[in-house]
Amino acid sequence: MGGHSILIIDDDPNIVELLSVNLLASGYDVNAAVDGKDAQAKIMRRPPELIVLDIMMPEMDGWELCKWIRDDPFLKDVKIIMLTAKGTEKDKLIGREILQADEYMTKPFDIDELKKNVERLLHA
Amino acid sequence: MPDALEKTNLELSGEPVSPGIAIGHAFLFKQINLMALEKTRLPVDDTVKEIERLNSSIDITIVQLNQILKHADFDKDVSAIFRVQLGLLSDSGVLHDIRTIVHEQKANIEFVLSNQIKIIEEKFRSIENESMRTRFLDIQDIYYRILRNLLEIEHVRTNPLKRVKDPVIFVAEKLLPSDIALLDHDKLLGIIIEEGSALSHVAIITKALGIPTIIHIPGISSLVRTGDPVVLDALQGKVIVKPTASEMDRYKKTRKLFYSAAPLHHEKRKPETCKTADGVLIDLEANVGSLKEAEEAMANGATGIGLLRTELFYMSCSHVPTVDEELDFYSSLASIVKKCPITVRLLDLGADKFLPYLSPFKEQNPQLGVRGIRYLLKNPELFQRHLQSIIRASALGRIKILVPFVATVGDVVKTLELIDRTCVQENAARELVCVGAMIEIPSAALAIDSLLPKIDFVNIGTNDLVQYVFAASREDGNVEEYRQGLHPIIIRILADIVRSANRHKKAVSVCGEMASDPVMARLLVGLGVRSLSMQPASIPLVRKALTNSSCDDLNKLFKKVSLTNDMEHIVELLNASYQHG
Repeated sequence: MGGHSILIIDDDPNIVELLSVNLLASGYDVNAAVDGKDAQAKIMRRPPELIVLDIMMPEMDGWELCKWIRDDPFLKDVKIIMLTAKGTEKDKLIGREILQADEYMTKPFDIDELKKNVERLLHA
Repeated sequence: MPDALEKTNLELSGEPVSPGIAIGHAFLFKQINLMALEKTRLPVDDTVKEIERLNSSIDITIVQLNQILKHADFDKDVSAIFRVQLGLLSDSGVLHDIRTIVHEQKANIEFVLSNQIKIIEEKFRSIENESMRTRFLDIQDIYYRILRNLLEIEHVRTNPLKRVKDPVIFVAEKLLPSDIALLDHDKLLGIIIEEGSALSHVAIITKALGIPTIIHIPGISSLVRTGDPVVLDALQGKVIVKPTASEMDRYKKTRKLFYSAAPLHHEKRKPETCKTADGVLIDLEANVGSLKEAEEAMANGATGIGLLRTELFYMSCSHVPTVDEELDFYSSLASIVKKCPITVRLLDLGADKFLPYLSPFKEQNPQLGVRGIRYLLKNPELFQRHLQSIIRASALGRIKILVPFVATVGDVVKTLELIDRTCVQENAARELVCVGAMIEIPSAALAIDSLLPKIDFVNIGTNDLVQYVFAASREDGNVEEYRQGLHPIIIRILADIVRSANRHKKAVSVCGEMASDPVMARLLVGLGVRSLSMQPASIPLVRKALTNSSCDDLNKLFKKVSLTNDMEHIVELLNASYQHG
């Protein structure tokens, strides 16, 4: 399964560390960005195969970044997992249906479930 | 990754609705998928709270509309669009149903509203009346805006160009009137929209703002990405993605010429003669479809109406116009153009142009079917009324009749018989009515020597001629590469027509997109054309390009071009001459 590139976008260093350690251990090529603007630059330089995306971030939030990715025909195959504290039914609807994230997970989350989702999406 | 994205130098065509040239980087904007909301019903316990959310979203929408109305650049036509929307919002009846449904169904407001939009859109499809369609689109715009404001996603609510530093060419699948009005206009070099209609509010707004705009380019939002360099030629209706350096230089020059030649105000101007540097007179006339366009043409110094698209007048009517109604239209037109000639193209219906009140022919391939003169000859009653109006109008000014879609000499002969008969019936002087043929079908171009003795002039429609020579539909983006206006074969056909017309001492004019492109207009003059008809906005630009050139040099350029069989070489020759001319 190794080698697939993943970009973690979250302004919480603890989450970034937790995800990085676990995904690196699973053999993925992991990179991180601390906000939407930072992520945009990294995606433009080298589009990842999968993104784990927080919503509430400074500068550009996860909603806006998700739309930016989905608008770009070059990035249409990039998988997106939203990982956020925003857990209302309406938030899930926006993330999944309107902004077309491939998966929507709420914090606190189970790291094994996230890894399963990553694996499923990368091998879909 | 789609192959098309890998391609460099992609050229696409659409319909220009606000003239101008823009060169810059693309910014891709897509509408969010609000219709996903119609499928997901979220249960609501407190419907009063849900209605409060709706009310608060309506308040935000009202603030946005008032903000739009404060915009200094909007004329009364544009302001009226948003005043109507504000009026609809304050009409308690419009949103009353939605509040009732929320209470009855205990459903979330997004679900109810998006389902209402779906109902509206279904009704919309069956409406043929233009003003009713416009009202429906206004309601749709309001509902979409309320829905987006409900989502509380900041960048979806407001200006998507907020983070953009330098001005961009805005590329969208679809835009609502309020989307354009709320954009930061200082950051807009131009607009490209996949969908749209020239009569839509979106077109009215971009024109009022003076932003070069092209609509109806299917698929463009899947072919362009944010940051791609783009040339937008909203005179020709052409978009070049990732242009070459030579194309870039050429368009920089055209942009400079256009903006230095364009009139600053639409003041009344007299028809302005166009003389090449060595004194050869070139007639610059306009292609128009409405009185407003005729006014614009005269403001730009047109020497006449070179192509009156009568079908556009018919499309603005809710029924087949009476002879008097049509005559009134010509009479208003004659008073706008004063003594300048008006070339009335007979109704060019069929293919992609239909009238809602007339039944179209059901055809497998309408582009090759009952179009133009074929349609008229099959509808003698309609044709008779149409001719009566035109013949009566010939007493008001210099009216010429142009027969569209001529394929055979027989088409012309039959039409002339009807014109002769109508002149007798109307007691009109037949010798005052000039009749010409549109040369847009290869068979007419090949039979030009047989056609010319029967008629007074020919008008070459280059867009259709190119389409039919290469068997590549103008509506089909997949065969764009085949429509080569500068192919040696096309240049040879044009030169043959002009030579033949000169031999028969008959006037020849060109009215396709070629005529409004300064680079191609120079070639046309070089090969002997002395009359060009184009969209009104291009007239000052083409005049400037021609007055800067000597006819003798342009003739030498044509001779050089006619010696090559390589289209790329032709483009290089024309661009180089234009750059140095």
